[in-house]
Amino acid sequence: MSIRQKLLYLHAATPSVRSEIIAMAIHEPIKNSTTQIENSNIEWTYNSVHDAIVNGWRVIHFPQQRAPFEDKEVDVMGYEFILEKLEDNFDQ
Amino acid sequence: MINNKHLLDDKQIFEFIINGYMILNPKFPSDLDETIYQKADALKINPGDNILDEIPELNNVWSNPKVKGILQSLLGSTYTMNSHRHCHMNEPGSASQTWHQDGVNERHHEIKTILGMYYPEKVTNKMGPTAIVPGTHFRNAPSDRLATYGNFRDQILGTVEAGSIIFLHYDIWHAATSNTSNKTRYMFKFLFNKNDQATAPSWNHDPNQAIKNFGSLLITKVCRSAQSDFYKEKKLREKMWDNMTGGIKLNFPRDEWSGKRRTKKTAMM
Repeated sequence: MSIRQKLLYLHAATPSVRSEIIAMAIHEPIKNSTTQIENSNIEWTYNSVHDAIVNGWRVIHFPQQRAPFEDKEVDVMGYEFILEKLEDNFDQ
Repeated sequence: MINNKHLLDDKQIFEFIINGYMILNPKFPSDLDETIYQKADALKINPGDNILDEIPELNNVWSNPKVKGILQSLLGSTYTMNSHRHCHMNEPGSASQTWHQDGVNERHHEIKTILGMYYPEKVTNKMGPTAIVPGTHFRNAPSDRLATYGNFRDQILGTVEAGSIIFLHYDIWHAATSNTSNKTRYMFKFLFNKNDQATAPSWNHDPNQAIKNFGSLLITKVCRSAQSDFYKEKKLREKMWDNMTGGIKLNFPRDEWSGKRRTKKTAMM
């Protein structure tokens, strides 16, 4: 049996794993699955990246502290962490 | 000429600058909303920019005095309707869009264009309401860079009554959500352009009321983000106010700590 990768994108207010989560997207490793903007109440499972780590997620991408920034302008929101969980692939 | 009673006041202008959107239900005659809905539902093809030829009743929406009052307040009395417009048909079973800005990332701190989204029928959360991230109209971010965002903590859904209009700053982050109902959701998007730079407020400006509410620009946080972004955002709000008023400076007391009683818990900096 193979394994497959479940992905969790967490956008945090700062590059610290302890800072507040402002946006979240989960990608299930299932064919034709979708990741959507919810039209109903959202359950915010994690308040920080650290919460997700405690729950078994592994961080595979950390935001760059030295990323370019503009003095007086704002652009994208938050700092992107990508996390994974590996699970058994029962389809194969 | 618009009757002044239909213009916004300073508090409403500040709210728009902060949020980047506002919702109005002008209470059109109910047969207007129903007629437009039925005609939209009977369209064989989407006529795109020619939607007014197919549904001329839409002219009554944008000529409503309350609607014109808001547009004049935000864009000045010389605003005009853009030739681009679109009937967005969100069919049952649709997937949500990804977050996007309709603008093309031209850096500015003005209201150059307003998106007017008219919904002829009540929109419930299951009917694919438009989702909006408040305050993001100051963020100059190409839409492809928004692709990895899922749900925001502070996103709002445009669940509205029949005949409502959502007015949005052209650069605000928004998206249609999935329609999980069995009814098509129609939204008519029209654009309105500012044609002249303001030399004075185009709304019911009252300096006393403005000073009373000016602080909202400096303290109101409508979407969680980095604190350093919030400091910048406050400056950008002030720039927008300056642009809209033709440069009216308010003598607002900026030292928010001045006069506050010291408590034992307050650390001395």
